[in-house]
Amino acid sequence: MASVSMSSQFLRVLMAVLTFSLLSACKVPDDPEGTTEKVMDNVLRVGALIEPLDQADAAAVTRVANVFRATPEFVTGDPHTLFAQLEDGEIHLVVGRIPANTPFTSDIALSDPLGSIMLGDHTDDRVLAVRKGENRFLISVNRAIEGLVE
Amino acid sequence: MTHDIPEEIERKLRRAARLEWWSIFWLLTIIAVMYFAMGSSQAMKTAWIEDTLSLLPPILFLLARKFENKPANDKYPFGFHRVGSLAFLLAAGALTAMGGFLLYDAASAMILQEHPTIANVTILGWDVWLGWLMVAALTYSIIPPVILGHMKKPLARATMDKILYTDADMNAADWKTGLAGIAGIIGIGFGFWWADAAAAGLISFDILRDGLRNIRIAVAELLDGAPRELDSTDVHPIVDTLSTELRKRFPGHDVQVRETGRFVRANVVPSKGGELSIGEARKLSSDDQAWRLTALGQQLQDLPDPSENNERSIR
Repeated sequence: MASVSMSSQFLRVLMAVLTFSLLSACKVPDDPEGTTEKVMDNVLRVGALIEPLDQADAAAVTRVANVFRATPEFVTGDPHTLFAQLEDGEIHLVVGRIPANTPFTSDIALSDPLGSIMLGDHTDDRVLAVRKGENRFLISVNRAIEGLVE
Repeated sequence: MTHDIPEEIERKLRRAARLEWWSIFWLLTIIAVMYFAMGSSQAMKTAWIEDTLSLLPPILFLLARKFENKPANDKYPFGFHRVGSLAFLLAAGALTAMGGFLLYDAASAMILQEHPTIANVTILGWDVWLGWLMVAALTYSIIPPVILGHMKKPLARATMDKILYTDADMNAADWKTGLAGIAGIIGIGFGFWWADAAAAGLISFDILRDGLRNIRIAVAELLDGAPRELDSTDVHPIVDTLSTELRKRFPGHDVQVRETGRFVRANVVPSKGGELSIGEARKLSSDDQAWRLTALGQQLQDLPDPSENNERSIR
């Protein structure tokens, strides 16, 4: 029967794809622009939106730096400059009371929440910003800050 | 205007209706699963929209079934056979517009070099990359439609149902969409940001092509074109058979065959001067409306014998 042979053929393709992906799962997902490799055992360039950073943000940066065995190096500036630098890969992380509903979401990627912040009369999740599409780096950041939320 | 449908066809139509209800059920589960795994992947979004759109043909089929056999009335003296054709055109239009939009979306993501971000999630204490969940959701989204598609196709051929056929065809081709989506996600996994947009582009191209082909088939029917094959824009062989047979019975006449839904209607017309002259038309209608009457036909209950060379007038 045509339909049977067709679905078995399809299953074989699917199995091949899945096996292949599982074999290489250790390096998946990877960073298209290689942020993880650049930061590892090197310098973590952090854009700070406020100075000095408050305790929660500072703790998050320390944890991330430790995971990559990197030395944090701070850059300060206005949000637009820092996010533009993040987009270009000149800095690796932007911190400083960033809410999860930041209007910059179309240009940057956000980490998991690491606490909360008061904005006016409501609270929002506090997050870190990383470069878009650097999925391996983002996952390492998420794992580093895991447990910061009480 | 009720029409006797053989019990065999009627049974197949009922079975098709049952399959379409099942399709709607499975599609709803797929749409829900895909929605929760969608994240910010372009290919996932495109595949999700395609799955949402594929709800349309089953719904249209069931609606058309409901209306098709309604008896003719004063307002619709020819009955409702073509309700399916209308639905088909609407569905084809929606499909085409959506395909175009998704293709634009994928192309602009490619040009703007948007890097899709897919993070990790914690499910039941497990920290997994959301990409793997997307692959699982896409795999699930392939299985029911492919099976249902293969079950619906023979029914569509037997009942000459265009909506059902398109639906079955789209279902059966769903594995391509799913596989393209999976390839896109795995591509992102390996750090190829463009894989996702490329996969989305391929899927949307497929949607657009389906839509355009369906529009051509629908237009042919709504413009009283000759009946077409289900899977192409070629003229159906029934046209030749009917024309040959009818010409034998009505020498000196032409045969026009058209399609209303799954049914076929043949007209036998004088080969020359089939149109009503305005003088004749004036006998029937008031002066200022007479020009609108171009032809007058008569339905036959019994066919004349082909052997006796009768000069029966059809006008």
